Amino acid sequence: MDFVTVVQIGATLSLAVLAVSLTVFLRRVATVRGKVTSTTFRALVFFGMSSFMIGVIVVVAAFTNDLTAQRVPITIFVVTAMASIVHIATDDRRVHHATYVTAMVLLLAAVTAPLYLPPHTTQQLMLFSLFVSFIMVMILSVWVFWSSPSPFTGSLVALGSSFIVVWGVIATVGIAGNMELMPVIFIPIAIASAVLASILRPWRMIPTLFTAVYAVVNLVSLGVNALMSSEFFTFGFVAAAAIAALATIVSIDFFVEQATSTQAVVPTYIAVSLIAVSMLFVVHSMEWAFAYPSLILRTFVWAEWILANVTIASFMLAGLATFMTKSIRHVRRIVLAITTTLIVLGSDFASAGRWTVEALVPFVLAELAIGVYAYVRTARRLRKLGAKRAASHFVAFMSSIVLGALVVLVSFEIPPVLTMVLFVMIALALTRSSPRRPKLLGRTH
Amino acid sequence: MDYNLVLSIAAHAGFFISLFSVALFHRTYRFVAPTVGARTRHSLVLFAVAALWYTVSPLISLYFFDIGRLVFSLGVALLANSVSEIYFESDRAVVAGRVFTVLYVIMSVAVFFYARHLFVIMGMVMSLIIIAMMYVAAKIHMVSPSPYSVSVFAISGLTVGLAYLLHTGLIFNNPQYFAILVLPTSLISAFLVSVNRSWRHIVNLTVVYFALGTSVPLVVASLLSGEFGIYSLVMTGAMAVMATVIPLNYFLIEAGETRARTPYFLAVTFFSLAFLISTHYVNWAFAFGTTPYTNTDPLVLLFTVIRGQWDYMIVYTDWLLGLIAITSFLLAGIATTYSEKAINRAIDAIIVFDTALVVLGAPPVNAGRYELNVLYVPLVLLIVVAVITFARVAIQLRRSGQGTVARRFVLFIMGALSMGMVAMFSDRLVLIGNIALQLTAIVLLTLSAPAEAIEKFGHVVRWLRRSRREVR
Repeated sequence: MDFVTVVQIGATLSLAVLAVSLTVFLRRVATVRGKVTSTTFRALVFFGMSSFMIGVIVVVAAFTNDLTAQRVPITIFVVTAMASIVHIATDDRRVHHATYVTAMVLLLAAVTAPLYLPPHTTQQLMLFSLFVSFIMVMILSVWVFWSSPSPFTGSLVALGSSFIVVWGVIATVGIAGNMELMPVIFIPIAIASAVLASILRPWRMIPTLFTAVYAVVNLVSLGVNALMSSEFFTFGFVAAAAIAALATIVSIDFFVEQATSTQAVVPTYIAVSLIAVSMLFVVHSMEWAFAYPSLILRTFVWAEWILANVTIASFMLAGLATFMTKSIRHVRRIVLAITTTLIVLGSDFASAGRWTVEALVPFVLAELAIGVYAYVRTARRLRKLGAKRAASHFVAFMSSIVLGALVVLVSFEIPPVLTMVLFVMIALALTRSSPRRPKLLGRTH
Repeated sequence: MDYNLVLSIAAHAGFFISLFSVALFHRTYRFVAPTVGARTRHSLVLFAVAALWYTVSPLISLYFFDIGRLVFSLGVALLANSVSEIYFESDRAVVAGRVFTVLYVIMSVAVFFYARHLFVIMGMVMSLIIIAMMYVAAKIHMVSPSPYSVSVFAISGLTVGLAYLLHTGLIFNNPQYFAILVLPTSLISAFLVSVNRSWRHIVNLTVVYFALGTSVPLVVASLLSGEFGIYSLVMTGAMAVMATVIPLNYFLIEAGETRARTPYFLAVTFFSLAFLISTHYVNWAFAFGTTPYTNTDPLVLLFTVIRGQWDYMIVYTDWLLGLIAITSFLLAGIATTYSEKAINRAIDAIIVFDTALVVLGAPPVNAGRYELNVLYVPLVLLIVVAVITFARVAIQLRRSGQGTVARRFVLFIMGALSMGMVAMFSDRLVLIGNIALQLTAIVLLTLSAPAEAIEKFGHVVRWLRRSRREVR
């Protein structure tokens, strides 16, 4: 496995995914052209451009380690994001014009300054001005989100935050030198394309699309690279993880829809655990492809630990929420505190080599036991009510989710073939018991 | 400074606080007794007697360790009997409880005199009693939550801590933990005084008693040994705690009357801030003892930055209290402007944030690798957000013509902040800076309190002097 190739394949793929999302976005936006004010329309177009630029930045970073090459993409991202937010924030023409002028000046500076100035000066000047603009973008987007929370303003905040991730990835050592950053490299692209593709539609598509894009980009690049380097066993492992991840993704949409339409908490928790477990499969196959059996990267272990904790905590909460109505809020807060404690304790910084996450597994198992008790109780009640089929489906579905998390946690203790078989079995169980029949392509409305 | 002296004064102070409270309680009792059933009467009397036994035990332990242990266990038994009188419905169970208590008392005394080596068995029985008490308190709390159930639960929990501290002899090796001796005493005494009165007096008086019980020993001992540094800081600190009680009382009344979130969170802020100041000067006095500045000229000392060896457990306690204070301060700010849903979201987010900080600051995780000062950086973020929110509220108040209220609001924020500054940066500031900040906090908090807050605090002081007929 060659890490640099993996990232390059993934970056190219993500550019294609982003292009598709951008097409969908532009077609939708074109249909509303006459219906919204020109200010809103411009805000939407700028938003699409800046989302696309996030992908471009990652692609450039995948192919070159040189920060000067990032100058133009990053500048375009920042100025378009700024223009979009300014168009939402105010209708004042003068402010818009001022924004355009600032954007032009920044762009011109980005293109021309390196021609006339010594390299270090440009770097620092650009960094400084971009930093100021970016901080402005973040403050404005948070402010817009507070004053009028909507999926669109929320996406603006998400976009800004994902840029921080991108910046963290490319500014430290560059992608090529930093294999440990693999789990987060494609998160911004997944967010951007999910937001782009679900614009002017109910926002409940966003979780499904995010998880799907994340899984597809990562797993395809891993799989293709495994084939290129003739590691067929790794390819099989990735394929098994892909089957399991896709089997979880098909059901996310259903639960998010339930959660938004009924305002119930149980589907929300189930959706969270589905998203987490699907990402867990992806991260685990990454770790397996790069690390097994010689070199285990601590970041991967911690990312898995976070995702497994989120999965199991929301599994337990979903079980408890079926029969606790009022006190679930307090229970949720206790569980949040416990989960955070476990995550922090599992981090490399806190443990400093004094303990490993294995030492913390008993606490997770205790959560699991409480969850199992809750499900047995709910299933028995459902059976008493005569809904035998529903009871068995419910329990089978939830237990296969949590079994996925467990398989990943113990994966290094069992033979890899067994892990693969378990992945496929989990996928089958999920598909059998899922409330949504699988389709080749998810519905878009 | 002689810590044995501090310890012994603290034990005496605790005993006097509880004597004082029992005297006040006696007045209430004579007034209430005819109106309640026989069992409640028994329970109340048992509670008062238990409180005395229980608080006299640290005092005795200091001089006669074994007898102190005996007295302590008898106090716990009486407390448990007092709870059982109220908890059980059937007469049989109540009688069984009394018989058990009498048997336990006889057995303890007999074991003490004739079979001292079996005392460990009585200790086990005692821990069973404590567990039973916690269970009963939790059960009462589930059926009808009341200050009574919460107090019993807290007292049982503190009993465990006290027993650990006394019976392992930890207190003799680490006398800076003497504050823990005072804590259960404060709570029980506060509870006794506020029987048949509003529950908020439990909170107010716990704060006051704790501040008294911690400051008096330090002040007396430092005066005797001529430690000007400890004396000045503890004195101003104790005064600052007293200054917080005025707004605390006011916000508790507001929270009880209006059921709004803001006064509730502000009350939590002031409660934890008061405790923070108390534990902080205890730790400061301990750290001062480890520096070479003892017996320095006061004028030189005033302009010295005193950086001693802090006791990490107390620092961590301060950290927890400070986190609670800052968090509830922020939540109070959020609650002034945003909806219930936003508050709930904010609480969820803050729980995650705080838990991470609590875990990272914990002694086993930290293991001396970094100072807590590193963790102040994310904390400052919270403070800044809270101050901005409060400033916005103040500006809005000013715009709507309520200038006085806005001014008070600003004063009050500054007062709370300057108290927090002392707690966070006292080892970076010169002594006079610390003292000045605490004095500023006193002035600002007193100025910021609305007139009715001071008036209402006057009620509290007055009913301590009233005759029993006038007691509400």
